[in-house]
This record gives sequence, C-alpha cells and structure tokens, in this order.
Amino acid sequence: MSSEQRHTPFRMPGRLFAEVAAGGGSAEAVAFLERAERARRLLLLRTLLDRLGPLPTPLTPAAEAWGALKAAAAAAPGPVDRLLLAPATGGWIAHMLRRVHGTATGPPLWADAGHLCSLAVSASLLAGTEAELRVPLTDGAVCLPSLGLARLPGAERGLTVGRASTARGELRLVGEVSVTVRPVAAPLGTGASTVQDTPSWLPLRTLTHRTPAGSFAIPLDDLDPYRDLDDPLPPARLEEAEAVAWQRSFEEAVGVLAGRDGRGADGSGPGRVDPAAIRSVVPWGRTTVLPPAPPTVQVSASSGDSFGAMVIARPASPLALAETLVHEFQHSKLAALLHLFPLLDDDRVERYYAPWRADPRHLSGLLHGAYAFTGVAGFWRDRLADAPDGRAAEEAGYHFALRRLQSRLVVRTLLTSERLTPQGRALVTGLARTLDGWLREPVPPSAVGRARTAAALHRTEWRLRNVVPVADPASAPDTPRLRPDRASWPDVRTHAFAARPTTPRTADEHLAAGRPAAALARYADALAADPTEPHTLAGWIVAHAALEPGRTARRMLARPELLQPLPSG
Amino acid sequence: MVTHVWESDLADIAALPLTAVDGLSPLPPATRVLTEVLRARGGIRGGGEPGARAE
Repeated sequence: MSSEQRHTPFRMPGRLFAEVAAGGGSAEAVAFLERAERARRLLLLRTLLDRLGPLPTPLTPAAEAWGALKAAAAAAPGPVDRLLLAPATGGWIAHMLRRVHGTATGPPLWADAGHLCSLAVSASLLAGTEAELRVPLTDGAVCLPSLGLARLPGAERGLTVGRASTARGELRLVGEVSVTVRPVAAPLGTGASTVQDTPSWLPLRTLTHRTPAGSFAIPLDDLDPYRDLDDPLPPARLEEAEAVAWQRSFEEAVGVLAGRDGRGADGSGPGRVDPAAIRSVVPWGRTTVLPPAPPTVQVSASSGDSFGAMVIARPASPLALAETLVHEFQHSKLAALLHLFPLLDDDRVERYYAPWRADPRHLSGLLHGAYAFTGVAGFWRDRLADAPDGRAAEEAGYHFALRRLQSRLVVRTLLTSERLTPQGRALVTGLARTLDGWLREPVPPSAVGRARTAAALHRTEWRLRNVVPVADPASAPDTPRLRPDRASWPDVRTHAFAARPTTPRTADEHLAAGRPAAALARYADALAADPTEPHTLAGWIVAHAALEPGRTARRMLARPELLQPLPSG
Repeated sequence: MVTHVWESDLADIAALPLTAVDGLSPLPPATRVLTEVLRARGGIRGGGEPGARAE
C-alpha cells in the first residue's frame, strides 16, 4: 500500500460545496480548495521527481537539487511552501509531466527539467541556506521563481549552463562572467523606494493589496517561464510606467469589487472575489503604456495547473479588469473542485453551443463557461445595485441580464446532458438555483430588451456559421451536425449592445435601440448584395422575429440554419 | 437539503510538510488526477478567438 493510500480522502463539508455550487465561496471554502490544491501538487511533484531522476543532464542532478530544496524547506517551511504553491510552480510541474509523457513540447528536455535547480536556488535564497547548483541559462539569464531574473551581462545567447551559489540570501551566478546579487522582489504602490532593474537583476514585481488586516503582495509575473498555460515563455519585462499603471488599475478594480458599501470586500458571494486570494497576475500582450490600453480585456486566461493565477491583457477600464478578476477566479475555483471530484463524464467532443464562444465546445468547456459567466452575472448584479446613474444602470443591467440568461441556457444543456456525476449535478443544480433567483430580479426593461436581442443574435449567428441545415425534427437541437467549413468569427455585438444608442444609424444600432423595422430594412439592403452573409442574416432573422413574434418566429430562431435568405425584407 | 459531506478520491495529505514528499508513492498512471494533467493543451499563443480562455 502506498503512503498516500493510507491517508484519508478529502471530505468536503456540504455547506462549503453548496457555497461554491452557488457560484461563490467564503474564505473558508476557498481555503479548503487551496488545501486540496496543495495535496494535489505534492502528489504530482512526487510523481515528477521519479521521472526526472533518470534524465541525462549537464546540470545538477534532480536528486541533488531536490535535496537542496528540501534542506531549505526544513530551514524555512513557510516561504518554501509558498514557493511550491506559487502558480508558476504548478505550471512547471504539470508541463514537465506532460513533457516526459510526450504531450507537450519545449526547449531541450534537460533545460525544462533543470527548472528544479532554479527552484532549489530560490528556495535556498528564501531560507538563507547555502547551496551550489548548476542551473540552465537562457541568453545568460536564469529565472529564480518568486524572486526575479538574474542575468550575466554580455553572456552568449541560447542555452548554456551557469553555476549558482547561495549563502545568507545572496546569490553568486557564474558563467562566462559572474555577478553577485541579493535577490528580492519589488513591491509596487507602497510609496517606498523600490528595487530597480539592473543589468544583473530584474526583481519580480508585486501588486500591493492593502486591507485592514494588512497588505498582500500579488506577483505581477512577467518573468517566470511557466506563467502561461503550458509551454515555457521568454520574459516580457514591463517598462516601469506600465507596471505602475498595473498597480493603479488593480487598486481601482479592487475598489470596484468592494462596492459602494464595501459589501463585496470579503469576496464571498457569487460574482465576488477577495483580491487577497489571487495568487498571481500575468500581464499579457503589452509591455509599455503606449499605445493606450483598450477599454476592454482583449485576452484573459487561466489554467487548472496554476490555482489563483490569471493571464490578463490590461484594459484601460477598471470595471473591465474587475470583471476579469472575477471571471478568472471562477475558473480557478472550478478547476480545484474538478481536481477533488469528477463532475462529468466528458468525451471531449466539441459539439455544444456556448453563448460566449464562436466555436462549439466540449462539456468540460461548457461547465467552465457556465461557472465563470455565472460569476460575471453576479459581478454585474452588484454593479447594477451600485449604479450611480441611469447610464451605468443600463450598462450593468444589460450585462447582468445577458449573462444570467446565457448561463441559465448552458446550465440547462448541462442538466439534460445525462453526463453529470452526482457531484456535478449538485454543482450545476446550485448554479441553476442562483440563476433562477436572479432571473426574477428587476432590471431596466430596455437593458433586458437589448440583452435578449444580443443573446438571440449570438445564437443565431453561431448556428448559421457552425451548423449544417438538417430538417430533421428528431435530431437534438443541443447537439447539431457541425459544418466542416466552420471558421472563427468576431463577436462584435455582445459589447456593442451594452449601451443604449441615442442616435441610431446602423442596422445593429436600430435593433439595439428597439427599432426592429428600421433595422430590418437596413439588413435587407445589405443582404441584397450578399444574401447568405451570416452576420447580416442573423440580424435580419432576429429583427424579423421581433416584428412578427409567434410560432414561426420561434421556429426560425430555434433553427435559423434551415432558412433560405429573404433579402427582400 | 445539503449533503453533509462530499468524499473525494484525492488523498488528504495537505498537512504533510514538503520534506515528507519522498515518503509518498508516485501516482499510478491511470490515476484520475494524473490522466487529466497529461492531456495535451495549448498555450495562450495557440490562437483561437480573443477573449477569455481556460485550460
């Protein structure tokens, strides 16, 4: 019997499960999930260490590096444990397991595997122990996780081997040249003089989150090679002004999350997040303040391998950043729950409609989307309650109405899929309960109207672009036959419909303004030139259904792909 | 009604110190936790539509 088999299994109290299933989660529930993540990570690390041992390497052998890491852990359990639990460490462990299994690619295996030596150097520096290890250098630099990037100025490019010695928190790195540095991270927004970049040291910057209970440091990770979802990345160092902009945006987003009366500050309800629970923010796509950031988040991502981390392209709007913090943390919570329990039996065939995607999704993706967007709906519900004026209420009301509607649709698909486990059914039933309650809450009628229209437009265009017209009433509408020629398409309407147009000009603007007749005429004009263009045709179908509601309209919206274009209006 | 407790297939070793990892056995290849990790996935650079992604 293996030692872990002698341990009792995790038992999640029903009340904590219910909190998470409702779309939220108290600090206690999140701590439970994080405790399970630690257990999972220890098991994966043990499994990986077994595979690293036999690998040939010009670096310090894995067993020796692991010994140095353990010595540091014995001297300073807390800091070294935090290093183990850092999202990028989880990313590396998972990536390495995939590499040795043949399901991931990367640099030469010894360099990927040699990150264990870098972790051991970091651990030794954090603990103040002495160690000497041969580490992988990329272009003369080595990332020291949770601390920063040490560089040998003028070193040759490519992969080489360096010698790292640590003592009393000081690092000496030797390659073609040598440097001595005292590696420390650099907190942003503290007002104190911070550690500056030098030719030999780039400190890991941390976002500062202040609370009555104290300050929290959240890595703004632009350095660790394992900060993405899988394959290692080179550093993408933010210029100082962009890092400062991140701190400012983060503080403003935290202010949004707290709400006007501070009720969102503990992050426990659906649609809320405690910023102190975020384990790292990975800036994406820009390293400079210019050109100005777009208002919305262009890219965000997260991975179950890296609990609490979120990859985000910085937006200009703190509202958009706050929404993304909620969205991505929902993914982290669900991924942790999936590590505890199989929630569904997924054949991973991508066949389902997800209202926030251009492409068909598999069931796991559908569940992730439903969980994330239930959180997003809750976020906008809070903003609606906080709205300082009618315009803000229109926008928040729109997003709340749209996301509760779309999430409920997906929850229905999940509940009728017959693929949920008992835990999965309990989770999705909890989501349904939350959403059903929200669907009864009042929202400005014009915002509800635009949300319904936007939801219908997306689904209609998705079917026109993805679904083969099959006039078979027996085939399930949730699992349609998919077009072999389907391709990605931009969703330009979901955000555009958030605001109520005051002086509509285009067909979409007329539709958003509640003038379907004016919209229909313009769609018809456009279809005269290209009768099958899916974006315009979707608009025509939705406008037509608004003007002539009834059975025919419902059938048309249910299976728009069956329609022939009717460009005459 | 809220179920009293949900039992996981994950061993509760969260209290184990890092130094005790050697005492664990490697996960068998068919373990649910491990098979999920070993599934290939894409990095954010892998393309697809702009917007939110989760792996």
